[in-house]
Amino acid sequence: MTWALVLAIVAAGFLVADLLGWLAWLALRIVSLAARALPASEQGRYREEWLAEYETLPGGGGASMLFAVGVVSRVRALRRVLTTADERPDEDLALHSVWWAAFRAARVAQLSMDTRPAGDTYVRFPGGMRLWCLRGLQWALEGTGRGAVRAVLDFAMVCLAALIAFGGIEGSSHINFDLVLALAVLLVSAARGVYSSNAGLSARTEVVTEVVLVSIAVIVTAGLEAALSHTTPATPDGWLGAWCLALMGIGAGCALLAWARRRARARRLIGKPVLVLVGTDFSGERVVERLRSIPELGLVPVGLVEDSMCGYARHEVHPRGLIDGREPPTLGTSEELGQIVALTGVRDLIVNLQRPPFPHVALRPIVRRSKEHNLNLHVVSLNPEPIHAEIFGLRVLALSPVDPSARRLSFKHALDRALAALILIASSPLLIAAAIAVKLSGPGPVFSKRPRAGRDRHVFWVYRFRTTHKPRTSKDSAALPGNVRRGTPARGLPRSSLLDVLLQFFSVLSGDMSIVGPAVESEQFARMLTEDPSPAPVSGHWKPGITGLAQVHGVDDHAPAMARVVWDNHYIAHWSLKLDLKILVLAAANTIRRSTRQTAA
Amino acid sequence: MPRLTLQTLSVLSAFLGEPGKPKYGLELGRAAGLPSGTVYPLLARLEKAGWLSSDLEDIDERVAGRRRRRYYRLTGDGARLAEQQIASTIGRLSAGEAPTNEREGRPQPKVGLP
Repeated sequence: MTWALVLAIVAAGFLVADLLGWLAWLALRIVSLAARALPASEQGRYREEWLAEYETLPGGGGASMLFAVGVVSRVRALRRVLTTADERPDEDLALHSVWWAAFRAARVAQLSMDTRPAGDTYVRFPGGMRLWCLRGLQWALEGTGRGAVRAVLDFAMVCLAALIAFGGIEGSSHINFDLVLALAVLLVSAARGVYSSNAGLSARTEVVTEVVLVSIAVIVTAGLEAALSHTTPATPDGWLGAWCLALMGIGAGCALLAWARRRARARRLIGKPVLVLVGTDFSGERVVERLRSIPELGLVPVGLVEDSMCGYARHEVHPRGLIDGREPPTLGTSEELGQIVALTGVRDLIVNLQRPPFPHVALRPIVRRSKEHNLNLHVVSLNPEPIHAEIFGLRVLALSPVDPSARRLSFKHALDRALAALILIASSPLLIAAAIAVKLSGPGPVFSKRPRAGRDRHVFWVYRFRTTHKPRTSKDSAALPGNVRRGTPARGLPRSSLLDVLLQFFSVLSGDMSIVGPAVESEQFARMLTEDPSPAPVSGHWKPGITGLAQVHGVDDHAPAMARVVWDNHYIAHWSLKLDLKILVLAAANTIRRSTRQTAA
Repeated sequence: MPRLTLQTLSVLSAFLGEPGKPKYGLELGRAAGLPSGTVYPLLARLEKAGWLSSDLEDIDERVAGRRRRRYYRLTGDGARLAEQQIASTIGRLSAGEAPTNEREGRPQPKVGLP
């Protein structure tokens, strides 16, 4: 473990050094850029003066960044001193527009987010104004305006990145290549369909797409500059910087948007309006309740659709239904779906499936009608047991706050693999020694392997050190005196289970398992569990873990499977990185306690 | 006559501490205890008023291995006036005319000229 610690510290040291180098580079760019805010006649003089003084600063990024911030903070005062009445500084168009956009965006965000959750009133605006602001927010974050907002943000970020990257390069040509680069990124992204309102990409695809798009834009713009510009072109260093900064800026913009959406959803300011099916076979009221209790899902029930032909009162969807959290009105029966869709404009219908045996038959007409009216049908299951992964070709969703395909989870998986690599490197001498000991002890392979069910019931092998002698032929086994089965050294070791746990980190490294996760089951058992569920596991889409909530609560392999399933379902419903950390600490404490008990014995 | 704030006076006194020795901006800011960046508007104002003069260092950049710095020095008039102003400010401060802001009881940042 000490090795892992040393490795981690060294890696962190490199990372910090790299970051400081970056900071110094960024500071240089910012100082050069600041000179452009001065009158044209003074720009050269001050750029030279500042760059010379920048060189006197001690190495490392901290001091240079402080210097840059200081210069920028007083550059307006300096401009006032230097500007005479007849000489207005030539404002840089791109710089000015970016500042302006940033300022306006900050104002708008301040206005729309300046809310306080007190009862039902969230926003400090008069009635009509409030509704308009909320509609705007809804349009920008949840509705058709998402693409436009994203495009504006990308444009501003790339402009800023290019300005910082090229800010100090002297002899810039009369064509403003900052703007050209931003436009190129915008055009390429629009062509790729990044800004279409229904672009739903996974985080990984999105990152790869952005890298490719920005690279294309930078190459095209650099080519244009080389072809058109008569003055000295920007150095390759500048283009590389622009590329890096643009990517970072776009990433930051996306993160900002996602953050704003989550905040606004959690405060019930925005949400996607959905209809909910109620009736004897579908307990829609529970869906409404669940959606209300988890506003982060961003689904707001605005109306109920009655499945059976009971009496009901017809209402209209009120736009305030989104905000005020009123009881959703009943809008009609499922036979009137067409009219409801036309009237309300809501395009999503949620159907809850009861625990099995649920009536497939009852669902069939709903599926048919929603297809007819071009309605998105979502099948959910609230008992923490989605019965089957798919029904009529529709994925059954569990309305839990954690989506197993979300970004936070991919972060967890990346962290898992990194940690597993560190631990395996640190423990490799031990593992090699154990392998040699087992090999020398007698004939047969070093490892024994067993099939296990992984994510989405993908089968993988779990390896253990072989603990029993395997007779190669029947002759061998007959040769053993008195049919005695002797163990390999792995069996004699006091903590052979610890060695096996270390081997499981190979599965983590290969991506079959997590360090913390639901319990790992044998393949047949997993199939049995999903087919005869009570309660059924929801862990289908999760990677099983070396340790988990069940194990740290003393529920191990010998306990009844249902106990494990209950813990695993709880883990999935409440998953966070913090919970993972807590489980790890508990598992470590358990291991230490067990080993001290063993030594005492 | 430039506006003389306490910050300006502290920059001037940094010059007078080592008379005749030219200094560059960052060095002056440090000597006067100002946050970086603050010193440039002050220097520009003093230079415009003729108290200071500045010129580029006379070195070969390739031989020295660094960029040429801009050094500031007090002009003859500037040195005389600066000494006068500092002396008069100190005189007024010691005479008890503390330039404090009465309402908040904090030292007033700007020193008015007679």
